[in-house]
Amino acid sequence: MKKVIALTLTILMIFSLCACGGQSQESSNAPIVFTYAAPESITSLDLNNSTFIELQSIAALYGDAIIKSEVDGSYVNWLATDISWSDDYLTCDITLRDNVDFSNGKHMTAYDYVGSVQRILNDETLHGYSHFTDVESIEQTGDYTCRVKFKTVPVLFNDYWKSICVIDIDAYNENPETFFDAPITTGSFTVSSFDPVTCEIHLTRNDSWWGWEAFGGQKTNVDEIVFKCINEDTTRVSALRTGEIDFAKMIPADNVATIKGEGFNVESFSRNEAVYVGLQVDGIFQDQKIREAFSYCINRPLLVASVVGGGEACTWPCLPMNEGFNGSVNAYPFDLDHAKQCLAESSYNGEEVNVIIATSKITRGNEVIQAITNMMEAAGFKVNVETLEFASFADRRSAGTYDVHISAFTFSSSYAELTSLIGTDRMGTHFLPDDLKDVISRLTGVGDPAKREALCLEGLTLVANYFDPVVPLYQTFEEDACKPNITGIGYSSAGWHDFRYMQVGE
Amino acid sequence: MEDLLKIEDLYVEYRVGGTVAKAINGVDLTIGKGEALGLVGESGAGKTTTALSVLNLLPEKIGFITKGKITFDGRSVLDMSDKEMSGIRGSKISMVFQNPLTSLNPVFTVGHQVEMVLEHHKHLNKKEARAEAVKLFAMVGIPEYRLNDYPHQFSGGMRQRVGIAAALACSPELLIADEPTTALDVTIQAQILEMMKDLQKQYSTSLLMITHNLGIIAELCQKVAIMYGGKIVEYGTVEEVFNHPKHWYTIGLINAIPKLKGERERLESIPGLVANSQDLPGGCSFHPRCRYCTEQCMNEIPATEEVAEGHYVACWNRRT
Amino acid sequence: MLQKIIRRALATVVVLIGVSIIAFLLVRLAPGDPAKLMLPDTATEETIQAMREKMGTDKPLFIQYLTYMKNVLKGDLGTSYHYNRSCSQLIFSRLPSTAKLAGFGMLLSLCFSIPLGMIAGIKKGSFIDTLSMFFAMIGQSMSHVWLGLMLILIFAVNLKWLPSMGTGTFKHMIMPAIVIGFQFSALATRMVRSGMIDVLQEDYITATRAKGISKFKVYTKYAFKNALLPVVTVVGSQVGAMMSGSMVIETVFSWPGIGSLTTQAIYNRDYQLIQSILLISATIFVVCNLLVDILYTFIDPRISFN
Repeated sequence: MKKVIALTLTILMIFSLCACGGQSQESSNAPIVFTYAAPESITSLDLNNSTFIELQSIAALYGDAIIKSEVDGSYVNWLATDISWSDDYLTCDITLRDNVDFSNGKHMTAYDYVGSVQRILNDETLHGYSHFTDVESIEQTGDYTCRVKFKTVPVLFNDYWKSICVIDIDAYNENPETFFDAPITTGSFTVSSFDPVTCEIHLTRNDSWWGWEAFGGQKTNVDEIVFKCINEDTTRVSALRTGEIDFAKMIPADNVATIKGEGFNVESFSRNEAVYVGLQVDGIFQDQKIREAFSYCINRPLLVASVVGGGEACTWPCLPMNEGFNGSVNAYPFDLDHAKQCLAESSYNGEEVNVIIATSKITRGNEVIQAITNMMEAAGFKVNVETLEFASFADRRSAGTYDVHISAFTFSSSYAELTSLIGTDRMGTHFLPDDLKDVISRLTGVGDPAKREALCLEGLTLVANYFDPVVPLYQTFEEDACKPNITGIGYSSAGWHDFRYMQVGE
Repeated sequence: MEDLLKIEDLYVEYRVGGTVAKAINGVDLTIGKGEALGLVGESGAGKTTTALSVLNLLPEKIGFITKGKITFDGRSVLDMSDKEMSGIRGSKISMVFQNPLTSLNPVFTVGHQVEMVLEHHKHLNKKEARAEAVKLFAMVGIPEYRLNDYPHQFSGGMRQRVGIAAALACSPELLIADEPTTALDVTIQAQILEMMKDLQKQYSTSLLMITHNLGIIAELCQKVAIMYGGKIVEYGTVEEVFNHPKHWYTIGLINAIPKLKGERERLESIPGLVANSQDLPGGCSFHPRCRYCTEQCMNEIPATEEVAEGHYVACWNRRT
Repeated sequence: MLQKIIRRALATVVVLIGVSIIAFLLVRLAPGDPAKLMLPDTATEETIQAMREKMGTDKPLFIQYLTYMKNVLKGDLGTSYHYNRSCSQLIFSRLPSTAKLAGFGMLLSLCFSIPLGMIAGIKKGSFIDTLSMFFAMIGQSMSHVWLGLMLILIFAVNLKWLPSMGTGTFKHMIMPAIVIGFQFSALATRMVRSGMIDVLQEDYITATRAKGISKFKVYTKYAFKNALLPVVTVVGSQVGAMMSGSMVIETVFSWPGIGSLTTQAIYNRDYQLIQSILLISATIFVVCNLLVDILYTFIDPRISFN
């Protein structure tokens, strides 16, 4: 008898659990909710303390910085109406807008902005701290003005300062640990909830955002944006197909046809990232002819067309959107005969070339390395490949214990590439000839954009001619899918999205 | 005297894999009310099979009753449904098993294993069953405080008493005891037998005593049946059969008992091995081991004949 | 009994210390510098060195270990530099999800495999028996990833009965729980089946039937308890293992448990997080086993706690 009762109770319990927690059907006046997913486990909303790409989309919604980078890569004044520099580029005067309010009603002044910047200057534990070590001081000079003094010329000012969004600094100081779980900011959307365990973020539209009028675009009709993290590619695609999400970032190439067939829109765009090769000059590749042979034997267009399925073959040691790009010459053509000839003329005696690759960083990495191996062997190289997990790969790379290393790199700025990456031999190629070193030292600290452009071009031309320390292969691409009734999403080549003006149709 | 149990022309086979073992080949037995019958034979003769057949508990898909009829209290056992049999097993017919170590469930208390019979057949509730069990245990000589102990905490003799208590819980009309003292030492054996004798007298229960020990038969039983190769080869009262054995197997068994008095003689034994039920000899199953084997013994199965009042023998060349 | 439990608990502490040392050393043996992994490719050597100092990875190993253990005894499981949160917060916020999944998965698994194993054992050689053995073979060889993705495709995408990922409602838990319990249910079915077959051949079962007890009651009460004994011990260690999370299942279903946390921690060489996760997982595993051992003494009276 007792067992019967227990069994009945258990069944009842199960049914009641089933009943609760379902989504209730909404009426037609329901708020429009846009749900999207990316394979990033965003665990903190503090843009200055993370490296998540998709967090940039979210921070662009909830936060305002003095400048903003648009999806096409250009920079516009945003929270600042004016940014003026001294002649030596070491002092910067910023004038902020006077009609900006925080989501808690407080009016924004330069006090808040100065505090927001100082928070980063004072906190060494933040990931982004190292970007601001060149700041000597920042001071409020008026209700809406402030002055920043730099120790050295901040060449990458735009790149770095676009990530500092203004926050209610007093509120932050009251609760620094939990402030970023529901940050009080001035943006087009406000964070209404954030669950760091499931990485789910809810944002609600801020109708009193100053920018709806200031920028002229049609305000989005989405009331709430929900971000979910789905790491597994197939699950993300499934969630799109079941209707659980409206937009899926990074669809694997195999699924594109199916998704398109079901009526979804798939947007394909190039990323500011390229798969590149670094050649170690302490070993086999000391001879420039061998390096040239390597570059010539790789058929970049074929990799792009047949192996990866998209993207662009690289023709220059930086991307078209970077400074110092020379579009009139192809520094990396494919010519197998020339490659064989170079190899024959060189001091290469059939030694085994040790290739290390971090396949987790490269889409279709296994297929890519197979293709590259075949291409190298066709030219006469003997190849030994090691596919490594990224942590081990990074170790080997900086120690320089390889002949060829292949990885992917974000080419956000030629200045950074030349001064930080190449100038400091970050990649362990041990290659830094005097003329290149000279250009880099002349480039360091140059504030004038025109001058910088010329010096970058000079430096990159040397890199192209030397076939080292950076030999890019191809620019990567990304495919995102969304429901057909959604329009107006901006796609940036840096991988983030502009959701401010999207319209959800019927 | 009325017949309580009547087994007529019973044939039982065991089929395992591809082999067929003919365990019982034409057995006829009767037990009257209040009567004690001893069933004697060596291991493998078919004694336990007979007992299980009476309860219709041969192992499923292995043991098959191919022919014959078993009547208990006027009703045919083999025609009864499982539900009807459940009502009979444990209350009208009970069985005490051979191995006290393995015939009790190790994860239930001994009290429970007796109470379950009372709850099932007499529909007593827990308290009533417990009270009744205490009385039964007292009867077999186990103190009350041991009711909540588990089988592994008892000795062999005590365990067998538990088995007997469970078997007698519902005052059965027929008690089948399958070599109940074989696994116990001699002194305990004596105690158990004494107890069984008392209980049998007290409740006038019929008894089917299965054993290979002739001494026990002499103590407890009125009638005896000698079994070999799945057949009853000699049957009659205990005095008649033990004093005037006619079948050479019976004679061999009796002669094999060592004598305390008289001259010291070589111990007689029956030559050869027990008949293998998977490969029975033709004709009389005993003929390969029999000194007095004839041509007819080898070819024809002996018919059962009455040689004296109530004394039956199945032998072509029996002793005269 | 209490004395024995205390002795066992002390032995557990020794085991956990051993686990902490092994975890500490193993993680540092793998190539990879956590400081470098945390910073972008363009970071300078000074920045990397400053990060190492902040993380404490520049100190000698002995000091690092002692500092860590000292903090653990105070209740501080260290800081995850990658997530910039305390390890205890990270682990304990995700542990309930893993526990829910492990519990429900084990429940589903047992509810399915015990009856199936019993019927297969009782009706040995029948069609159901063959079917259950086939199921057991498939279960032990099927890949979790494939099973998970297939379930999503069928039940979420095509039939739209269940959500494809995440947590929230009871429905979200069903598919991941099926996958997590699948392999174990194959094993449990086999064990229950063979246990049942062995038990049904025992004398005491015939004796119980001879008492008039119905077949059904004999199977479900008197044979069942005996057949289940070997399964109980296995359940204990299996629950302990499930509690350390399954990286595969959590990734496929986007389930926020500690399995995916562990994997991310390893990729990022988040030393303190890895050590703390391993320590907590080991503790749970040992406690589960201890509980099962205690439970076993109540089920099987022949076994005393030793």
